Amino acid sequence: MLFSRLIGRRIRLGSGLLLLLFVACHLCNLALGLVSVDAMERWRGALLMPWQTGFGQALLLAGALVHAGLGIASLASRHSLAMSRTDWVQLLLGLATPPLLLNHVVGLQVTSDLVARFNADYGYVLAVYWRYAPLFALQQLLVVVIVWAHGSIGLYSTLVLKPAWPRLAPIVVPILFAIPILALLGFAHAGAAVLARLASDDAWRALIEQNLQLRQAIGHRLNVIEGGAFLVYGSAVVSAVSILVVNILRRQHMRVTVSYDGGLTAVGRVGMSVLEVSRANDIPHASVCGGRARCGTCRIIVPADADLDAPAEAELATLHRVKASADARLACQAHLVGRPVSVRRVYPAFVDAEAAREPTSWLAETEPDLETVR
Amino acid sequence: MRSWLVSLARGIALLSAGTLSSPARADELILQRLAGLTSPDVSANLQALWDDFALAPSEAERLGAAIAAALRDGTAVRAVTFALILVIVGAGLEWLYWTFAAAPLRAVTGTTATTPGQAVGLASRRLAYLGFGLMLFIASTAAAALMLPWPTHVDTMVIAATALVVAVRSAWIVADVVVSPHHPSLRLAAIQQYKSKFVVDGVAWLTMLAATAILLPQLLTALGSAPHLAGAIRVGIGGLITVGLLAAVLIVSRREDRRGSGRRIRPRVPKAFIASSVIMATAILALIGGGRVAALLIDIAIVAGLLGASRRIVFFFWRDATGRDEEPAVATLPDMLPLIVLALVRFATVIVGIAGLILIMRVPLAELATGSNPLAQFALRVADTVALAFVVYLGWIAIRFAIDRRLRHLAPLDPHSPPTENTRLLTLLPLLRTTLAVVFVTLFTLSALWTLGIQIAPLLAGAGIFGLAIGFGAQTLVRDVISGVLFLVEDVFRIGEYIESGTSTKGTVEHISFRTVALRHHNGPLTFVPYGLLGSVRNDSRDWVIDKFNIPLPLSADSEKIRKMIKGIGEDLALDPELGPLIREPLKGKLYRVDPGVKIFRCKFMTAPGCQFDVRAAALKKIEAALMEAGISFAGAGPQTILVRRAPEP
Repeated sequence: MLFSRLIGRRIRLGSGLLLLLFVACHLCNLALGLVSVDAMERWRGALLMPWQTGFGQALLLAGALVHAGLGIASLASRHSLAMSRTDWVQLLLGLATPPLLLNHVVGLQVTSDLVARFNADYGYVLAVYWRYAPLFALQQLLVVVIVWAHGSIGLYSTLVLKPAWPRLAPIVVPILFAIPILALLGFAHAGAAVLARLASDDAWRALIEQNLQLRQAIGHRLNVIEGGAFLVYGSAVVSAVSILVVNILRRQHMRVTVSYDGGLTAVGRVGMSVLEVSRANDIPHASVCGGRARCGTCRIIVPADADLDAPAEAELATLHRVKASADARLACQAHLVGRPVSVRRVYPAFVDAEAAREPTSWLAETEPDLETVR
Repeated sequence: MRSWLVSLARGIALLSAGTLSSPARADELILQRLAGLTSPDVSANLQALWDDFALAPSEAERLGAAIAAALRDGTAVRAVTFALILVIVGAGLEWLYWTFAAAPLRAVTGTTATTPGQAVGLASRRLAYLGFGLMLFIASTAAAALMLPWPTHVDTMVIAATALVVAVRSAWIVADVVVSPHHPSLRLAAIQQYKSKFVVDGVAWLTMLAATAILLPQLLTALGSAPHLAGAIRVGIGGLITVGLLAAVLIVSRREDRRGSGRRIRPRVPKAFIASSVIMATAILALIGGGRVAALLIDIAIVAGLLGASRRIVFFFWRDATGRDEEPAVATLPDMLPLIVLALVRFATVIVGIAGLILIMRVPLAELATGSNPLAQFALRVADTVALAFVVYLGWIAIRFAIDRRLRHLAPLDPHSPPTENTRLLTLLPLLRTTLAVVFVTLFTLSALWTLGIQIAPLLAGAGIFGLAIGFGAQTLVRDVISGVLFLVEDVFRIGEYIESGTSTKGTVEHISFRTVALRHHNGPLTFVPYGLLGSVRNDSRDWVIDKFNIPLPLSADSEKIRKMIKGIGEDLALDPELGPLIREPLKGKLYRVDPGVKIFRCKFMTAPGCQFDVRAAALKKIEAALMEAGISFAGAGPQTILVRRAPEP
């Protein structure tokens, strides 16, 4: 590993937050369509221009590359596909984003970078999407929802572990809902206005069509750029998936048995984490953060000589934070090495994020039995 | 808002168009439909089918052009924008709900149920959690949809799409709660573990296909005015469903074969064969005979399948709580409750099946009920009779099982064991059971005849003439039955008692029926005595008996000494561990008579009924031994001849 998992995770989170901030600005600008197209244009200077400077573009590009790269790398370094439902959603949404978004970025930002006279104001963009290329509009609408869902889930699963979350939630959650809905409404409202103007204002329509011709003039170059980006991204994803498949197939027969408290046993492969074994075998196992060594709810008590790999920096930090005992490990970070291991789960499967926020509030020995449930 | 409500109503009306139609004259309509069922116009249907596929491409082209136009004028973009808002609101709010509800749901699914009752409780909680999520989704989607200014026609599509999502999700939720693939202890149906996931997925997919097959063609017909394309799509999805069902049947039956190899004991009904034939037949009928015949077949097949499985389904909830996964154990001695539930379930299944038939045939019920068609009236009466039969059956089961349970609690009845305090109940309850069965059957027959409109009065009057003749013949029968009832009410004898009747028949009562009592003579023969002939009854088995016997002793015996000796023996016997408890008054003896050459001592004791013989034998044995010891012998019965032989004089 080039750098430690802990730093990688923080960079991924930071780049994600950066991208989410940009998307939020962009969508807020779109939401102004509810006022008027002019208002969108006026606020573009404040909301989007900072991102469209050289520095802003470099930052965004770097953020996007790092976030996507780390995501793909983490997919490649998996040892099984036993993921939580949220993780599956995040993975698929994340993988779908770049190809869907590429067209928008290349068509507007790259074009205006290449052609100085090209004027990508909101009037042009809306006219293109509502009149000249409606299929692209459908694609962009979809990507708004996908990107926002991906970002919101990511933000939520980070924030929910923080002790401040109960106070933050009443502010953050409504914002997470309001921004995309207002943006879509703004898009629809402004679209109607633009269609009306296209029908009535011939001079303006000529301007738009002239702009469109500028873009078509360099269409070939744009296609090359787009194709290249597709190729790079596609090959990265394909190689990540092939690494994953090879890893799984290679260890197909390297079976390890894990025995749990309560007489349960499960079979996993070498390299899988204990949490993945639990998930793959439908064994109830608490994991609030979904296996990112953040929450400490998946922790297990293992014998001192258990055949697991050594704990990494991130795991030790979390274990220290939740004041775990010396024989505890995080199930999501403890990977099987070869010999069978026996573990005891500390938390019942039904703990929620509160157990991560206040580790001491949960009785360590709670067993999921009928009385507790009632 | 108001206009939107109007358009909502219009959308629903559009979607349901074709399933409702105003009937003309009910009777004619039914006859028409019955005729249509028996001789479906095959060639016309095939022609329509051919038309559907021939004209579908051109309609599809037209629809494509319409969609392209909608894209150009912004309608489509607008519709998709609003639809995505619905997705954000609906899915987002539900996601928010799950961030709170997921933990309690996990807690419920992580619990192991030890009894079927607990499993039902936990399942209802899971249903509540999952159902509330779905409700939230529906409510928030609907509320958001009401606020948005939709383009024309899109509202109908949105309703259809929402209906599709809701249908699939509800089917999935119900299947998941019932089958519970990951938690066998929470399962509510007799489905083996290896099938469980398959069943849930199958239900979800099937629902999706079926809902699409219903909603999409209706949308196409109502909005796109493309009836042929709709027909083609319907046939296509119908084909998919058929193939899927056949594949499912094959897969399940193959797996069963594999698992069953080696332990199959008896040949089974070829379920897979029957199921696939029904599926194939339904598909073919749907193709050539129109949908209605196929729907009838499906209805009947489902009802038959449910009836066949009903016992397994119901008894699953009363299985013993040992948690055996395979082959749910059916209790050997069924309880009353499951049987009543089973009857209810079967009855409800049949009723729902009939309701389905009525819906499929589109029988105008209201007109039938008020109309004067004799056939319809008769059908309604038959339905009444069936309901009556069901009520009678339920009552019969309830009473029978109440009696049986009481009998089981009392003891098994053995007529030759010593009587207990329960013998009266044991005598009466079986008789009561039979009596009630006769009463129920008679009442039901009479009521059924009356309900069916058959006049009972003439029947009874007609019976009067014969009745007179029969009545004379039945005189003794009536006497027997009535005196039997009186004997039992007066508690003259019970099963296990030894009685002697006026006709000098005697024996232990073994069996009591309507007309006769069976008496087992102590030598073995069983006599059946009609109650009418019993006359005065001497019951030897009540309360106590006194036994007396004589001992003849020679005149030389000392009366006082003998009396004391017998009294001593009586006290000994009273202390005997076996006989002592049976003796009410101990043995005593006294000089009773002096005859020439013999002193008669009379002995007397009191015991529980039926024990006198054992006690007497023991007493005689002891008396004999005591006399031998004292050197006294029994006196001869007749006059004693004493031969004195004088020795010859020398």
